[in-house]
Amino acid sequence: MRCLLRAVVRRSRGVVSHQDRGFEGDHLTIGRSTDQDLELPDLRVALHHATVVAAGPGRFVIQSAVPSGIRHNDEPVQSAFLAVGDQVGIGDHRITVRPPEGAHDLVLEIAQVRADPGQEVEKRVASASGSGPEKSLRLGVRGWSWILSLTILTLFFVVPLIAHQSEAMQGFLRGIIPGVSDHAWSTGGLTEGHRYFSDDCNKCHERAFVSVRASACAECHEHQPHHFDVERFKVPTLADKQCAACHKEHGGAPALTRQDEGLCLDCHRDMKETAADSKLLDIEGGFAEDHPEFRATFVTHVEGKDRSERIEIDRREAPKERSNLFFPHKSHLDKTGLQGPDGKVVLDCASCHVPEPGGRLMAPIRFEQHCHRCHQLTFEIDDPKREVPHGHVGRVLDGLEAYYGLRTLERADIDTGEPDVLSRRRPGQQATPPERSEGLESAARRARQAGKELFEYRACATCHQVDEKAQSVFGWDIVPVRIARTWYPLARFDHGRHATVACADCHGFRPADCAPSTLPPFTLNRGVADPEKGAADCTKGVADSEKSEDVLIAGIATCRECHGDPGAKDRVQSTCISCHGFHVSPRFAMDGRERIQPGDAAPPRQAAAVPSADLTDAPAGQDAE
Amino acid sequence: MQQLVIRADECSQGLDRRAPGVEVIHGETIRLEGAAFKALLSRWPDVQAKMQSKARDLLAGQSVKVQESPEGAGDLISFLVNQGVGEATDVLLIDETLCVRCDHCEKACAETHGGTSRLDREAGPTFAYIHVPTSCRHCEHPHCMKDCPPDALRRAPNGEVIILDSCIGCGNCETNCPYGVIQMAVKEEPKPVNLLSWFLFGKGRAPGDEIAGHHDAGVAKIATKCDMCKDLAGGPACVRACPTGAAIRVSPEQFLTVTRGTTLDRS
Amino acid sequence: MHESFLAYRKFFYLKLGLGLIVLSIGAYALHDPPHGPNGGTWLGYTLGTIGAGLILWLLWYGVRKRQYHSNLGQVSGWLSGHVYLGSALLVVATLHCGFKFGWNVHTLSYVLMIMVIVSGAYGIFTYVRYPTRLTDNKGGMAIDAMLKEIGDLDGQCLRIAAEMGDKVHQMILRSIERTSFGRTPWRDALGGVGKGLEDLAREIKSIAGDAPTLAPLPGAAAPAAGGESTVFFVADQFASLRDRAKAALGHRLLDLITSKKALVMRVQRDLVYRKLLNSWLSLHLPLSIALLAALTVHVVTVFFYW
Repeated sequence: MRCLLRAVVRRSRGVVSHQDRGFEGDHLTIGRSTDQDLELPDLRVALHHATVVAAGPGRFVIQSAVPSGIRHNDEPVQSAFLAVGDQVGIGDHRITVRPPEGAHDLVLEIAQVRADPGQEVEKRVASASGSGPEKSLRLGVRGWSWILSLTILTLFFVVPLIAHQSEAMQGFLRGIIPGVSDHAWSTGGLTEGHRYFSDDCNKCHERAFVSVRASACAECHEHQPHHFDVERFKVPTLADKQCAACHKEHGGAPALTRQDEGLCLDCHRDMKETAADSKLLDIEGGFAEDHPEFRATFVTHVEGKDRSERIEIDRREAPKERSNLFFPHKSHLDKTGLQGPDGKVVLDCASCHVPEPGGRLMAPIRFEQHCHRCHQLTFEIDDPKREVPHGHVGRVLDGLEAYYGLRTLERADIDTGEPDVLSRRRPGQQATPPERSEGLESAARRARQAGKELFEYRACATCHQVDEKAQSVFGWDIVPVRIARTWYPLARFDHGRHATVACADCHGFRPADCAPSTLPPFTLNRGVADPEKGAADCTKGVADSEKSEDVLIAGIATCRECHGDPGAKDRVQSTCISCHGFHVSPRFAMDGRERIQPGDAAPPRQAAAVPSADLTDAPAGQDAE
Repeated sequence: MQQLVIRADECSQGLDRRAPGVEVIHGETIRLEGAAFKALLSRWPDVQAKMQSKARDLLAGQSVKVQESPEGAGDLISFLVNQGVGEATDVLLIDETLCVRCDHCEKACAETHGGTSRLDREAGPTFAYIHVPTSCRHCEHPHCMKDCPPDALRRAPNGEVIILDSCIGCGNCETNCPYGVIQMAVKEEPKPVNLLSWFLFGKGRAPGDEIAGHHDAGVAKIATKCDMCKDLAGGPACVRACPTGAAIRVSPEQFLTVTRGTTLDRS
Repeated sequence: MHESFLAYRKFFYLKLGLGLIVLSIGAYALHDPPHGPNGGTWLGYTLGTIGAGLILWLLWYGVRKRQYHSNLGQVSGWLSGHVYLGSALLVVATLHCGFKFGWNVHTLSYVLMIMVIVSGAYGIFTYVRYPTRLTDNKGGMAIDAMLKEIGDLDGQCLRIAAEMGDKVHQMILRSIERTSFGRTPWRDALGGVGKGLEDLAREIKSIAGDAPTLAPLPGAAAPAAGGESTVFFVADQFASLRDRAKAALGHRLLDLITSKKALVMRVQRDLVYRKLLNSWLSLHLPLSIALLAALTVHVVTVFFYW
């Protein structure tokens, strides 16, 4: 290569002069030693520091011969291609590559840089002291702030907002990338029953910036019963209440329904303020201390009319049930047993009292199921298997008439005590109409007599109260049986959940003659078998009840043995809605309209007693066993 | 004045002077003849009584202060005095145990003074974690005033040394100041700062940035130095702007209080 | 007379922050909402408003800090409030949400807030710890003076190395070339140039000491990782070298390298400390802007699907 080496010399007064020298050869050596082609007399240059070689026609490369390397355009390197305008620094010399001139294909301009010690020093420190956080991040604080905040705003706000207006996009987002849809706005999971539509937030959140309205809930819960008869009572605090006042979603099952006592006590603390003509008692606080004594629903007979009344179960005069039935528990529960048709039978509670399917209440006692085995309605000694139907007086009498009439016409050997007109006939001779009617009259008389026996002395009279009213068509009237189906129709009690409790632990009574001056609350403590205890507060077990007017149902003190307020440590935690329901009105729905339209079937009699099924499951933690 | 009292008192007691006094500033010593002074005091006994009680109070107060001050406080005070801080009526000190080197003091100074900071935080010596950055000491005997052709350097009534607008930028004061606190600043109003656009987009001048061209020769300059922010409500901008409370302005009487709060005290 | 921002006005903001915490905890403990505590109860709304207000005020610190003309309190007072009330925010926000978390944008803003507060706590830690260390490290010398001194030492090393032979000279050259600071912060933090100088010292010892079978003197420890022991070890070695002149030069060179290493370590440490005083802000600031965005989304969406 042919190289021109031009040394730049700075004289005084800023005058610059050049000293040119030519070089020809394969490689140009640069260093401090005197034998180098380009001698740079500086201690910071090694004896042989670098070499320039040709790397093809017109291309040159400079290679460092020492580990400390050279600086190529201020980059520390070991070797580099030389292009016009490049600056190579070796020690305190700067070699600039100039365009080729004349015969020389490489022109190098060498100058000595008098470095200002201050600047020299500054160069060493790439980032000066006190550098701000700007330099720590390539993008800088501002850049990252923009990126992060715009990302968050876009992904979690703008995109779901746009989707809110576009069905297709909404569906796409919710299905494929829910994290970027309005699912990201959800504050918590939904209850089980609402999960099947949880994909679509707008099912409940119908309008932006408007809280969830009852109209959204009404899509499924349209006929949710109201709390009371809105025609009879006007309660301003419950008018226009939204479902969301008591039911909050996005908190899981425990949070869905208000459990706290305040829900109820806010109104029931002072019924006069809430609904002046209500007969409900005020309740001040929780179950453990403030709930009034239970008032059972009795059928009473006042002024010739049957009425239902709520009577406190623990009144001084022990309440009596007028069931119009005679049934002594004592004789039936005799431990020595009863004489049944098939031998001795020992009865216990479960012989007659069986839970209905579902286990909540006890199935009603049916004569045919439970009593008939022993109490047979026979009426004729000569025909011991024949019984009258267990039914209306008229049916019984018709039955008897028909029976006796038939037997008479068949010329059965029946001792009616009357001359048997029909039996004294020649065989083959048909009875004449007068004979027939005479026979039937006699049969009717026989029937009536049998009926009288039944109604007044045995069978029917055994259990039923029979009214011998002259006005009655038949001459007897069975006083209608009024057995309480549910003593506490306004509360839910589930026998199934109390299956481990013995019947006798809750069912018992206070006899009428028991009225010491101070009565402890009517409670059947466990261990009523303890005669001492029984004597002290004169409660008696079911097996001691001789009269059917004894009310054998528990009062509040019995329940309080196990149930207490929320937060109680030694009791089952129970709140108002553990036993009572809110949506209980048989007639009205929450929106004030009538649930049953005229023409529909009458609501089942037990509608008031059996609130809707989902409320019977006490949420976990509230009434857990 | 204190020294005078002590000497007079000792004279009145007939004692030779025992306590050497160190002069913090250039002062003048007046020598009174002891006998004549004693005669003067005996002529007015109530004056003598007043002087003696005042002397006693001062002595008592000083000795308490000296006893309470920690070890080495004397060293710190000598350091401060050597820095010429004793000359000043008011000086900026930086507690380096609190200073996080954020340079907000400089930025505040620049921003409130037309884009040039009169304060160089990093420069200046440190002793016992008390750093004396280059800021005007408002000396009792200002060296900068010596050679000012337009007489632009004056002392304000409250004791501060100020530079008037008549400065021609000759640079004599900058040369004369032994503490290097005078800087020649570009005579130019900096562009106003729009904080919002700077925050959002980085546009415009950053608050506290100094004017470019600060170091170029040939640009019209005037002398600037710390002016104690006398025109600003709220006082010195550097102290107000220091996030950690490291920057303080003290006058020499408060030195002992300052040393009490330093690491000397903490050890 | 001067007080740290932490002790501003006798810990006024610390007391304020503690009071806020105690009040919030007390209200939270006494409040028993029907559906469990959450952001939608009256207490939830109150704490949420307080928290949001706090966040906006905390962000405003960045503005106030740069309003150099402002007289609205001192910046150190603002920082004191920023630190203590920002810490109290942790409690306020946690009680506001009633500990209800999930994979949603609301918990995202909570997490961002936690990150901001934690990075700020680290910032306080650096503010308390490093200023003293910075001053101690400088040892009365300015950084620029140290760098100038390093330059001088480089010059002296070169002059000696030129006499000791080309190999030593090249080694010194390389060492000088590699002496730079701040290019890679981690290299600085992990020892960086100082370590290179140790290796250099070791190499010089092996070059200058011609005899390959130099037995270690009794009592001298083997060269460990620390540069000091290397230097001592080598110093002992040199005592028995044949070429006295070369040994003297090598000795001097090692002295220079030792001094340079000490200075270099100081400069590096200074840079590291300054970086630590600042680098936490690269987390704190972007995260707080992201928090602002997330907070906005949180508040708007809560009322969007009320």
